[in-house]
Amino acid sequence: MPREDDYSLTFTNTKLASTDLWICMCEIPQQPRDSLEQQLAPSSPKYLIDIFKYIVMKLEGANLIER
Amino acid sequence: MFPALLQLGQVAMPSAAQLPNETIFLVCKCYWTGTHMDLTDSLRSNDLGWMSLFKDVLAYDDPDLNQKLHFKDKSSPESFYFRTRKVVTRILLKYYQKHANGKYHAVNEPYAAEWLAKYNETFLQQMYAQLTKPNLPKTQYFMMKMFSSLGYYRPQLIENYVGPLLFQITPGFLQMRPEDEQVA
Repeated sequence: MPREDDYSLTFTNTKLASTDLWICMCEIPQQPRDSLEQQLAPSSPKYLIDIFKYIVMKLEGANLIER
Repeated sequence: MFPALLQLGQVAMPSAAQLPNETIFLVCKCYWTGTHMDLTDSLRSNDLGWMSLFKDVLAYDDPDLNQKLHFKDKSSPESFYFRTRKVVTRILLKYYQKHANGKYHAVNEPYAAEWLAKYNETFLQQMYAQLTKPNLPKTQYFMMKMFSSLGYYRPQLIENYVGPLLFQITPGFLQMRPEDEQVA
């Protein structure tokens, strides 16, 4: 595998790009509320909680391994 | 140079009878090297051939090769399979960020409107499909940047993808996995 695709090198970039994409998607006005609520059920809330936990940890500068 | 390159690429296109090879990879790489700074007027006005080639590269899907993401041999078909896709994604990202982006420079706006009208939906569908398949990390990075770029530039064009990206694709990338903990 090429060096630029080494997982340890791309880890931060991938997380940054996915965070950026997630924030960008949050800012885009979406479909009517009913349809959004349908999308949220049943597994999405867990995803959302995981995402917010991840963002909060990043903002706090916490070391995820130690936690 | 570009018409000859395009012909080479069309002949070398992977198919049922032809595995991904170095020629298609080099053709795409040459296109990237020759265009990432700027697009010539002739490439702007004759982009159908190249865009079709890129569309075919992204559409080519081999379930066997998909299993070989962690290849060791750079000259193997699986290496060219994943690396060609990466170069094509890099090229398309440049279109979304620069060549076909009026926000980057107002002078690009007329071409951006034309290019997005012709190709955007096809590439969005393909990129979205690729995000759910095995790909090199850099390829995934380029794809996500592409969606972000379009999201900030023309959000109305990706309305149909907002929900799936928000609830299905990005959470998968944001979740911490065992391999993440080793490098975080």
